[in-house]
Amino acid sequence: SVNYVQRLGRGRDRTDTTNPYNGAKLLETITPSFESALQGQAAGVNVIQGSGLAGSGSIVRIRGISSISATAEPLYVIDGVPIDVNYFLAEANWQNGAFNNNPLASLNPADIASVEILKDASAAGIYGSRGANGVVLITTKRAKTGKLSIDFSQRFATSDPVAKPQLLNGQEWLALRQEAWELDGNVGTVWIPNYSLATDPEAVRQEAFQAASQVDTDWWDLLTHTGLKSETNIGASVGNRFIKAYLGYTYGNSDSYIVGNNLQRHNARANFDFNFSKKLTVRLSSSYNYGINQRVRVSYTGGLGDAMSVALPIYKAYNDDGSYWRGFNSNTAPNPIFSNDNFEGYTVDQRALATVQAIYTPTDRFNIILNGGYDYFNQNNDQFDFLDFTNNPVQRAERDNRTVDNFNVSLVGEYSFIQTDNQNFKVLVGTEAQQKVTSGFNNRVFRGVESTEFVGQGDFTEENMDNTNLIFLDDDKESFLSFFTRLNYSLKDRYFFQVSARSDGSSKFGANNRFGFFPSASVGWIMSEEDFFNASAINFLKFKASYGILGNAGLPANQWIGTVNTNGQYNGSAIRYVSKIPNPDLKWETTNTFDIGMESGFFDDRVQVDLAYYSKRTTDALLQLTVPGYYGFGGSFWDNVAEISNTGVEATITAYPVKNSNFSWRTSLNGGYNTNEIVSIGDYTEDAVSGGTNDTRVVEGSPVGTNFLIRYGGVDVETGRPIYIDIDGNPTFEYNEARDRVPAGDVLPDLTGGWDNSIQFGNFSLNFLFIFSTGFDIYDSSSKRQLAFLSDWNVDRRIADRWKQPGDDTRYPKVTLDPAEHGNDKEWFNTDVWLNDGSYIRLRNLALNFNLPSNWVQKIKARSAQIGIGGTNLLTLTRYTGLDPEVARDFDNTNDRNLSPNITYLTPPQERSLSVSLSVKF
Amino acid sequence: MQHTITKIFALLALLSLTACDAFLENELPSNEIRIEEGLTNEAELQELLNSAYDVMANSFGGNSQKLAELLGEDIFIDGNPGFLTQVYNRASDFFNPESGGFYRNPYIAISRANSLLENLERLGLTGSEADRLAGEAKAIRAICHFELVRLFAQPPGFTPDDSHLGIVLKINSDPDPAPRSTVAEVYAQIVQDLDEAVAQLPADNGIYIGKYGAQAYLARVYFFQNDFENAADAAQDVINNSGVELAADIEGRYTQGTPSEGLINIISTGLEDNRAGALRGLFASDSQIPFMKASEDYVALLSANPDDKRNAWLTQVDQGGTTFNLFTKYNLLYFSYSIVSLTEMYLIAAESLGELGRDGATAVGYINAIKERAGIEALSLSANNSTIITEARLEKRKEFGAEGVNVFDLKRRGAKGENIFIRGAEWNCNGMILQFPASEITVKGFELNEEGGC
Repeated sequence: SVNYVQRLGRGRDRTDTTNPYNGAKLLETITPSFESALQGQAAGVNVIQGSGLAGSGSIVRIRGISSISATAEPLYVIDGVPIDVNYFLAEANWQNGAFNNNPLASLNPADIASVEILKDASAAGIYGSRGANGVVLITTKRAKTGKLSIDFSQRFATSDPVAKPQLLNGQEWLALRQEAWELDGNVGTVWIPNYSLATDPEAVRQEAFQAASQVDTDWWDLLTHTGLKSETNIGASVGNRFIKAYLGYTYGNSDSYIVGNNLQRHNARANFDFNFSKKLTVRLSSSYNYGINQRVRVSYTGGLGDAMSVALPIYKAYNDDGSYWRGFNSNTAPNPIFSNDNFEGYTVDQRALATVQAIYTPTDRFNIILNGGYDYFNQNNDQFDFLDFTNNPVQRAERDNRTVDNFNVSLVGEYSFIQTDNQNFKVLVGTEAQQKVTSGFNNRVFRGVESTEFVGQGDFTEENMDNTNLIFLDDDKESFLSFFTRLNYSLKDRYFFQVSARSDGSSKFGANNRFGFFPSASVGWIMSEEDFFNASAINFLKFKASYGILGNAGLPANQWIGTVNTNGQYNGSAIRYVSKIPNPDLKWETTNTFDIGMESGFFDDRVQVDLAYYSKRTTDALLQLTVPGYYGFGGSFWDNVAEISNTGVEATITAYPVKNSNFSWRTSLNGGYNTNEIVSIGDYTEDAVSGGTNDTRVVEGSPVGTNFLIRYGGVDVETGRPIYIDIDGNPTFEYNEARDRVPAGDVLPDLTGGWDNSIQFGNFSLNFLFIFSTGFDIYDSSSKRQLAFLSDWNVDRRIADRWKQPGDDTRYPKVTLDPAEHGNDKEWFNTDVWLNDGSYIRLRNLALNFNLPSNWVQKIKARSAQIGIGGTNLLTLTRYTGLDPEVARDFDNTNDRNLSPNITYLTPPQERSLSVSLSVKF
Repeated sequence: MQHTITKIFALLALLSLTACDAFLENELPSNEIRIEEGLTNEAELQELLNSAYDVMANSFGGNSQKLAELLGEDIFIDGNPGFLTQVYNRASDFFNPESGGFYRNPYIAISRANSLLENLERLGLTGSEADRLAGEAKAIRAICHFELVRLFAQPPGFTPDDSHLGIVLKINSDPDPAPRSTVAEVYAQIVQDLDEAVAQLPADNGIYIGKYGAQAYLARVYFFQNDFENAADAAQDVINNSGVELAADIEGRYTQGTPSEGLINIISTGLEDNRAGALRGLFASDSQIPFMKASEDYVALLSANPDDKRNAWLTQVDQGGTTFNLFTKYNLLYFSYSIVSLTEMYLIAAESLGELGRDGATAVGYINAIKERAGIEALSLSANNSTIITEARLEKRKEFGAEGVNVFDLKRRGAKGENIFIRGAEWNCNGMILQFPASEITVKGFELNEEGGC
């Protein structure tokens, strides 16, 4: 069993703030991707889990967010080597059916021995600028000395949505539409999209209405099912004094609850440790991942998105003769069954990671560590269309490709100048270099092909290839170089001092601003070691403080260079154009961060309390600006513009209420509170950077992720019209976005955390984790089209609370078919009526395991065996009335990802999963 | 020992320092070139020019026409058209992706044209090739400014001295904030650019803009300003001297290959290079009930004379008891198109002469050429000016249905003082021009159009 008692990674002499995780713990949770298992486990680490799509990625934010357009992702370091994490590698999100590429899906949770999270300046200092958003250190499994041991585990699990959208049925939808028609002052029968037109005579409209009344299709049910998942792990390790080897293989096959969506992955790992002598150890780590994600279209690209919107309950999937139904008076009615049947999409990832670490220890005072890593990633995004909307054969296939080669090398030497009982003084010096090369192509088109998928061989030949729009993306290079030093001094095993300094250079900046200087200093004091300290209840008490400067170069390569691009052609002739305007002044985004903390242990560590406070100020924050159209260039423009502040407190309390050999209970509660503000955006306006489709903006004096909306003033009791609040605070019927938008909501949570429990009773163990998140809004962007104005969308059941006649005081206005009745000229209004308190508590994980008695186990010659059942997302407590209070929707770019989590637009809700598992160790 | 360590680190430091600058100085991807190395000779400037055509090809292959048609009276829409309805309802706002998406592209072409002109000067290139490059760049700059200003600003004549706001006039490639110029300033620049283009361009310039392409466009610009003297002169110069002949049949402006009577053509080379995709997507009726349908008004205009060959441009499709009137002009899987054609020159010349009250027989001849091609009865050579004007207008509306032409004639006539209403709205009400996109207000100080009121 796992020993949680150990102060994992919480070295006494460390002055930083870190959070350790145990690999076994991560494995227990059924997650779409490893990083979502970090949720609720550590104070200040906020994870918003992805949607119900197979392999969907989460958003991980450590201590708030200090960036707007530059990446805010933590640095992921595997076995000492940073890996490439790019969520926007593919050409465009819509092309993949609103599925964001997830670079972490290729990491195998079964490979992970432990995870540690570094949060503050002194901890991140050693990873330098790339650690500005925190560092996630992952150590993979390695063999121990001893005879051959084999671990086997098998798990089966289900996938169902955590919630089903509550939409109207056919009869209700028709009745509501008729109500709107009459409220608008019309007589007779309402016209119905794809059945009749407003201009049709009454008899035609009536006939259409009758026909529509006969239909009631539940599209959600047609497009979802209970998905099945299976995962098989096998690991073997063996070793002696000189060589140790760990080999592992995992096969996973996961359906999501969305029909047609599946992720298959193969992971293989081989880790070797060579002890050449007492002075020289070499560690080789290698892994290979092959993942096939069978995509479906969701959200605004169709499929399940259509089921929540334009696939009306009065539409049929099939005609009586078995052909696809495409409308009563048209042949273009949305039919997600038809469009799914005529589309296939695959994302095929291959990732190989090989690292080598050579540790040379000539004396016990001196060691040199050489780290080298090669991270290879290859992704094909394929899609195939059989028919267009009118049943014409299209049979067009398209492939986009990306390849990333990421090289890392570092050399570190550490020497202990003083090594006595009383004092310790170590100096570390190192250098590190990284180069990343991205290449690939877009728009390789094949026409007239018969085969359904690229994954197989198919008939994708030179003959049916059409390279008109083929674009090669050649060797987009970025490099990073760093020199660093760290001094550690400790006195009497109770006073600790650390100073570090780095000079980091990035090719992403021009010659004058290429190198940034990032120093940090920290102190620690174990008060409980002092002679005067004699509070017997307190066995450990430590204070620590740090200050440092960190940088962020998380922007695409070569943005400072003015370039001419030669992609494309006109009339068969070559073209060239200015694709980027130069910005030689582009420089590092820098964050000054201050941190104080306390660690304590009571009653021989039966109770542990950790507290921390931090304050971060980011200057020269990088913005990817929307510049006026009349500037006349299509690309983006990066500049150091904004200033952002983050302040927060964190607390973790861990206790062992019961601690016997037969019965023990560990319980741990953590929480992180963060406040965040955009202090300045220079000469630009709120609209200079937008996240999502007009969902959030950058507003001075408001947090990152602010909804900039017109305020909703309720319903006019007499007329049923919506009342808007204008910029001066006065009610108006006129909807004017250019004039009346104000900061109205904030989608990033203030307080997040988790309550984690492990109970062991005899051979049983019970683990459960509650997570919570509060102090944020969810912008339910799709409900603006599912409530109030009646278009060709289905309608949410919450429409019950609407105005029907004078005197009604309701949340939603009268329904209408005429935007003017809502003071508007489009089919929705963006106001804060669609903002909801998103606070929730969720039972993220529940696992009950039983260790088979040893006499049973011995019969099969095993060392141990365990069976278990578990579940994820079994219970959610929230006042949010929409689908799912935890939303990482599809994102178009980094701005979106940073500014617009917890905004939903027909986003598939997360999955609820039940599992059974068996694991045996031989 | 300590000595050895010191040596190792000293060596390491030395190695790193010498290597570091080179290591951080990467080559660009092979399809990217540093600005200072990418525009250095005539051949490269020719490719820069091609890129301006590339953008124009995507802007005017349906995106400008659809916005113009939505503001006009020749089409009818229903169903769930999203943001296009906003334009149709004369209520576009700064979040409208249809108007906003269109707006950016002409400025990209303008910027490329400006960059070309600046680099010609920087490199000191002269001679006939340099003149041709400059002429094409100026013509493109003028065309793009004109297409923008007539959609995003009220027409000339809206104020007596045209002091009302136009668009931002962009005659350099610097990325700097700028205010909107007045309509007078914008048109002055457009006319100047086209005049210079006419002077610099060769008469025959292959499929690219030549002297008479620029002259034809100038005729369109003068005509829109109700400057009939200059419009007639320019249009007649094209008719008499360009060597381009009126297409024998009515399909002359939309073909695979080069449109025969086009004076400025945009070329599509295949299915994956269809520059008219937006026209096809919105209007084509060969495989769908398209979003843009012919209005009853427009159908009545053509079907009044069953002999009119142009009735073939319309088709009726019955579905579910409803009859749709649809356009057939764009029923090609891919096609090239002309953005200004000889037919338009004939009708501009005829109407201008009618307005000027001179050369009646010539004007009637122009109108009759169009009528005869359409297989309808010719106009009497003795027709009076008022008849000439009326007939020229009617033929123009018939000819250019779904081509984004008619609404501008209506606005022009409104500005000239006629009492013009378009689908019930006054020609110059706020919503008859498009709103600028939100991108324009990302930098403080830009003035948006007034909204509402029609």
